[in-house]
Amino acid sequence: MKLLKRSTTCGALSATDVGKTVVLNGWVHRKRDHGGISFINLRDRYGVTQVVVDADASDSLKAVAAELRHEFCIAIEGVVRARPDTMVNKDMATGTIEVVAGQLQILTRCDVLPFQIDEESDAKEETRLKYRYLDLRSGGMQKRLALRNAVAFAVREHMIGEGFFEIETPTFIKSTPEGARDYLVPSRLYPGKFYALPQSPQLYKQILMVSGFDKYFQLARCYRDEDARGDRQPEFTQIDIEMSFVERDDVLAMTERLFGHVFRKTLGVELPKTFTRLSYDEALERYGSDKPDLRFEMKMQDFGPFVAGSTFQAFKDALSEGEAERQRQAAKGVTVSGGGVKALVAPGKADYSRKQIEELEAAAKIYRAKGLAWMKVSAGVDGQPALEGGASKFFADNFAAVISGLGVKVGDLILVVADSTRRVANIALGAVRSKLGKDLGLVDPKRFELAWIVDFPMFEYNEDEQKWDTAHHMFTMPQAQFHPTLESDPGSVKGDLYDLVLNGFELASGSIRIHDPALQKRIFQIVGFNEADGEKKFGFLTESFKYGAPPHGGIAPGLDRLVMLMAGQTSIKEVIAFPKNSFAVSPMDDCPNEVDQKQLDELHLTIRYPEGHQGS
Amino acid sequence: MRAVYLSPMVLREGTRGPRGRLAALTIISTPTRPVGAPDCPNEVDQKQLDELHLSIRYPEGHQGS
Repeated sequence: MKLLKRSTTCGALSATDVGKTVVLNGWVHRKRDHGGISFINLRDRYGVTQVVVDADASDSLKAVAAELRHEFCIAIEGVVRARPDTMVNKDMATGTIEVVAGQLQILTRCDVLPFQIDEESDAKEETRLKYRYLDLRSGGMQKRLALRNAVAFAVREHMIGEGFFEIETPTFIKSTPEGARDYLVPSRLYPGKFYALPQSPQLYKQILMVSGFDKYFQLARCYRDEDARGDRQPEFTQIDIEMSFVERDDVLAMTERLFGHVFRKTLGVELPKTFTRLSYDEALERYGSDKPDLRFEMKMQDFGPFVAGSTFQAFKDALSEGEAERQRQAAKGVTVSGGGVKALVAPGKADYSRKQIEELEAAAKIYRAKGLAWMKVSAGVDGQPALEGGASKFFADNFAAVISGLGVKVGDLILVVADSTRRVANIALGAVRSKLGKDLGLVDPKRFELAWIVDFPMFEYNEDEQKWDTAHHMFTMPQAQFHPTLESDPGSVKGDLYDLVLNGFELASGSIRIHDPALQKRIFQIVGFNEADGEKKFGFLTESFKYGAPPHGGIAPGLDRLVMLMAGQTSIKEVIAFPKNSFAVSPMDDCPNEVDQKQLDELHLTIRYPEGHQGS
Repeated sequence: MRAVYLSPMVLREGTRGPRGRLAALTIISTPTRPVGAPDCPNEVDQKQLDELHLSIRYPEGHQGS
């Protein structure tokens, strides 16, 4: 039988096509029979069109129609007809017409489905991933992959328009055991040697700058062999960008233009020309997070000034222990922030039950808070605001100062976390803020709040090893004003680092890089990385810097996470065609899997199964 | 250090010398550094192999890492 090849798609026909003979190819989405008439909703990736096999159709046509089941792949030839006014479906793009079938071909039949193909599948994730080819037929997955395609196109359109070159970097690279684990690829030709899959194209994009390609980008596949947890994927895609002869604000402005273009072209959303900027310290102090959700305000406040006038010993102890630790560390040349008592006001939530407050406390305790103190603001005997319940008894002497200082009013709930480490108090109360934002419905899922977090600490002190580590990576440029004091006060040094956050998610991370070998050597020395180690691991990069390296910097927004947030999803699996499950396994193709002994022999490898392992 | 490259070149028809024969072209280059052995693929730490439950069986006569 000759294939009836489509003349148009299932999403294209409208009232202007009435009377035309058309051929459609697609899948049977729905089918129903009414008094000898068959209605078939035919679906392809462009939409759904209603096909009708009328009561006066030939017996052979009716016989084929009777055979049809969901997800049969078929071809039909027919005439476009206007639907009667009472049958118009305003929810369908093609809802004003139908196609009256004259010919019908079954191209392939479909077995019993493991789940119904719908707008969104309600099957378990494991089933969806095992039958991913069916899951991808759902309306939701089709739309999200279309959005991903549109975003990728908009990125390329904008970047190439700004003069960037798209350059592919290798995916077989040298293994450098830093940060997360590398995925290793054994070499057959060189026994005992391995390639690694890149965790990012970082070193190569910096080398491209040395080579004079001053504007580079790539939709780069990256690989990290981390423990399977949450929404992590072993492979992911980032919009990798690097530029020469730039300072921080140039990279930030370029990224703002890129995101403006992508959101305008794909969602029709107009972003602000410039995004909010917060220093790392401000973000932690106000929102308790370096990736705050700015769709709602609810800023945290410093409760420290009210502690001395109270009788709350736990708060006093947190501050005095923190101060003692700060002085101890300062004597060793380590700058730390001391203790902190931080407060959050939940407006109008004085009616929160003890159980609700305990749930908030549980959120704080995940982040090492010892507890969550609370007070309710009620109307006093004179009608003026007063503190009631919880920790209020400790503030009998200075409750008026607390009320005016925090700016609270009757009906508000005050929540307080104290800790001898200010960072713990901030982050724990930040977790409470996030939970309140969700619980109180303060986060608008259709709003996009982008913000830059800048001025990150360059180093962090490793208590276990009693040494300084770089907080990001070793090629980040310390801000110029700290160059004279790098060695004498590493704890105060800020790096030329920047993160882009969107609705509480870190969307991109970047930095201005070191291009001066002498400065790079100082950083290596501060983190106890000897020259031989540096030479062995990154020698090709540091070597290249000796040949006239330009000042450069870059950024790498995560494509998966960007599309996830644009699509209003909470998992990146929803915007990746073939993701792994939460155990880093693909149930569809059973990956990872055992390989033949011959393959192992060629690679000069032996597997040493852990004790108790059942083997293959 | 000055490096000397010897490069084969086919003489064009009509130039002096026998047709189709290879001639040596000597280029005196700017100072260069010797290029080391390829660094990728490379050996990995024993810890990485242990985490992957792997042992390497070097072929007979191989010098190992």
